[in-house]
Amino acid sequence: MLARLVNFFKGTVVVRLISSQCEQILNVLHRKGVDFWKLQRVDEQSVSVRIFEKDLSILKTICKRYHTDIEILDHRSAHIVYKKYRKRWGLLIGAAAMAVLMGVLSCFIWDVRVLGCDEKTTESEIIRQFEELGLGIGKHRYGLDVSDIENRFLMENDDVFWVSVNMRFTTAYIELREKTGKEIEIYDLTSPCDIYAARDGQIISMITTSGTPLVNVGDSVCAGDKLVSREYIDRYGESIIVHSIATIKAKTQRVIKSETPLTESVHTPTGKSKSFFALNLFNFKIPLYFNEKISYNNYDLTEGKYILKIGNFALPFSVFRRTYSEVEISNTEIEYERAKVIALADLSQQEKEQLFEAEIINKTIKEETVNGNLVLTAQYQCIENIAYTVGD
Amino acid sequence: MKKKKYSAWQGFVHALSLPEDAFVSQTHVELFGQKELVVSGARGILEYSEELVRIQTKERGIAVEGNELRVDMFMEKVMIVRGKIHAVLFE
Repeated sequence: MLARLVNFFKGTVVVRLISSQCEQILNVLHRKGVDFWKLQRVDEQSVSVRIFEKDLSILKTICKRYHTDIEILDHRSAHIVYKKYRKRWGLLIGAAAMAVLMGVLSCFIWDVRVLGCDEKTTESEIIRQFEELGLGIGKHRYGLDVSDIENRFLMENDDVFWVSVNMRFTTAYIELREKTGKEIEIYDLTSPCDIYAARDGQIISMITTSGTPLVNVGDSVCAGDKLVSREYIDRYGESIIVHSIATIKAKTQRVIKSETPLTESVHTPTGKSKSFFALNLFNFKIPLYFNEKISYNNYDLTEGKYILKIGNFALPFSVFRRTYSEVEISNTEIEYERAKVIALADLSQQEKEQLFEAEIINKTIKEETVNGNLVLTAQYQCIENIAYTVGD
Repeated sequence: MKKKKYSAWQGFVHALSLPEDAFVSQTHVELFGQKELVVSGARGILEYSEELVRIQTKERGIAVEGNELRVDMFMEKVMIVRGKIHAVLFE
């Protein structure tokens, strides 16, 4: 690319040498210090070769001496382009204005993308939060303190444990990682606290690092029972208040329910649809319609946003499209087996969310039909940590 | 049997086990797969066609046989031949 650019500014010519002794001419050319490239045989009597524009006169002299005809096939040079367009002031001014405009536009953010966003926080919510913090469409990208914005975002969002903002041309890429629930717990040892039971169960193991245990292995406890006290008698017989730390595992019972209707509403498109477009110029929305009145009783709404881009360079021009498609809604019964598959998938998802820290030792599923819904009730026997701290 | 001739400088470089390509001006030929041949120390083109390119170097000629051969560059004694190379012969 760079070599091509240099060659363009230096100027290159593709010439066709018509002679039976082309090799001899090329050797003389080389001995004269002329570089050439892209040597190709055109036919038996001629070859084409590319040389620098400044070497054309040397080639002409050599060809004259060897009685060889030459033909210029292509001539590429910056000054040829300049000569061609030098009197076109409008084009020149337009190009200069475009360059200035692109330069100015590149100082702002015109597109925000979120990467690594899962279920806990939605993409639009993250974009809205960053906009409140000062990073959004239309903001000056060089005046932003990105690390400060990242820190403030992290402080406001407990579900996110890492965030990074990267600018690429006029697009801001927000990359984040959400907490999975397995993060390292940091204890504030300066604040005293007790440990209580989070749920009913029978204790099967107990490791108390700090505090005085009030229950023993084998005891049955109810949710809310105090398990470890903050009052601790040290080896000298003095009572001190500590931050209780303990891992208390108990055998617990858990129940998860999943309900799936045995009928589903089917949206059948009638074929009628209405689209409304709006232009977004420099963050100002200009609707291209007078009123957004919909005569359809039932419809599906789809929205789209198309940002005008030159390569990766997002421009401050985008088009919003909102389409209302008329549908007929009808309720149809779904097969029992299919409903069961859906319910089991939902149950498995809930299990992942609620029992991700528990060890399941037994699981029974009961299925019944209640008011036209398939209800799956799963009973779990688990071993899990039931300790939760309560401070002042 | 004809004895192999070394110049004094070449003998000195050889005796010290120095890399000959760095200290002795020899023709350097590199073949990249079957598509590209780079000859450093090329002095001229003896013959050129799409099937045969004969290159003159300091010591000997090199013949490159193949199909759709073209001399992609000849600058500062470095020549690059591209195409479907079938054989490289030292004449």
